[in-house]
Amino acid sequence: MNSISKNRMLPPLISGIVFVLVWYAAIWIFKISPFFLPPFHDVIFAFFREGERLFSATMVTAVYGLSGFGLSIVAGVSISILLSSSLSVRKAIYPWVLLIQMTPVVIFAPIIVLWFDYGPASVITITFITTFFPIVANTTHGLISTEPNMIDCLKVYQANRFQLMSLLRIPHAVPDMINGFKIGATLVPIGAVFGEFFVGSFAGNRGGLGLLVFIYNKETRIPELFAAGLSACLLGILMVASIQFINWLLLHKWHDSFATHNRH
Amino acid sequence: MTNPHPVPLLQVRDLSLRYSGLDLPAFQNISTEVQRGEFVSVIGPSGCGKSTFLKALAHLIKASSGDFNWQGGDQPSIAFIFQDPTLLPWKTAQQNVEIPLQLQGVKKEDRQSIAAKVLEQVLLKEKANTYPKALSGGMRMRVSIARALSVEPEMMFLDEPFAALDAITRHQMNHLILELQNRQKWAALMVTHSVNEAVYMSDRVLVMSGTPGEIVDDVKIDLERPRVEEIQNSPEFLRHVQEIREILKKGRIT
Repeated sequence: MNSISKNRMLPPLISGIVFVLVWYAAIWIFKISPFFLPPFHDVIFAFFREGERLFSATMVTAVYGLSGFGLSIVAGVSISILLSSSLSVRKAIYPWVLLIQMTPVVIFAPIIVLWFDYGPASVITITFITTFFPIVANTTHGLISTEPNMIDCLKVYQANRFQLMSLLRIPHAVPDMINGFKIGATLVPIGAVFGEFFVGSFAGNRGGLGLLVFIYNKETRIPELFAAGLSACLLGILMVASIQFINWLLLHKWHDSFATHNRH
Repeated sequence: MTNPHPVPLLQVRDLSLRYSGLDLPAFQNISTEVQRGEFVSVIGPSGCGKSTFLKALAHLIKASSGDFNWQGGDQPSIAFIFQDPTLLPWKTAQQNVEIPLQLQGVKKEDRQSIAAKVLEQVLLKEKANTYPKALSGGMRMRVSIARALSVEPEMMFLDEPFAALDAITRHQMNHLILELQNRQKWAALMVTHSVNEAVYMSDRVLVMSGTPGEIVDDVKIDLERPRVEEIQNSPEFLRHVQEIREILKKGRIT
């Protein structure tokens, strides 16, 4: 392992160890009952004991989450392109987008279940609503912040609106878009697990992490509850890491955020 | 026998521009002409509308009144070099040069070949596959020049193209532009803040007054072509520089 990788891994590793030590210290100092805060090792034992169940539940949550996230990417980018087309359109539509974002999803959830019934469609829709706004906000910002001189440069050579969008605005917006995807990715487990929890029990073991949380909560299995939370975190980390990889793939050759060592 | 009254490539008549909501026009009553192959500089105090004037001629802004015409009626091939190189950072140098050709629907093989040729003209052949972030300021400006040349312009607009460069690179760019213009015979209309640069590069210098900008003088630069560096030390050169500086001073007072 080279020194750069070591430098990257060491700080989060150290802070993770400190976090666990604080966890134990809090239990000891404040004499917290395991019912409220189980010891860290109990959570880890529960994580491995329930491993198969947690894994399959996480996969179900991942499928719903990715479906909702995928929809929010398609819809978010499309709406952003529409919003960037004119100031009047932005003034007309953006307030409604903000309104959806500001309304707690717990208010939308019963309406969604009413429309789509208890099932995957409702979970996917709830995930979509949770992850939609950061994508719209960031992508729109990227599309409308194209330098005027760049626009003028293409206009001199007779670029039409489609060419300005496809050759200039959209590629210019990619870094902002990916930032929106990153924020959205962290919200995927939140949206999907909440959706599953709210929609309630699916048949047998086809439920996701939200269903497991529902069951563990009902059975008062606290270490298992924490272990489910850990699984959701790992899912979120995997999603963000995937977006980071896409970020690197698309931007590392040309974007200033990737330092060049060969400047001539 | 040379026609004593050649039809100009570009003729401008009483061109004015006023932004809505503002009291003073950006520029007003500009009348001038540019002949084929002629290099004309526009100089004046900041804010007098020089860049706006250029953009109006390139149809980037609509003038409020007056008009301008091109020889033969149709707009010839034009190119514009901005102060910022305006390179697309996600495209290599060669891909940036190809953009005007791509917009015009030129086939991929043809535009790659043209782009390679013009990059060679600006001495950047070996940087064809380099992204802008790895190019120096001078190199980026050369790519911008190559991009302008790719459309084989008859008229080149230059809006303070070298203002952001250091003195040495700026001088190199002046020399490059002069060399290319001498070879390819396009007309040029260049905005600059440097009197020395205007005299060194131009056949004529249009001097504009402060806001609202108007042309207060049209100074003919009768120095020998092709221009060489040493000419900047000649009495004729210094006389022209002094003349234009005096006109600019008067323009500030009135």
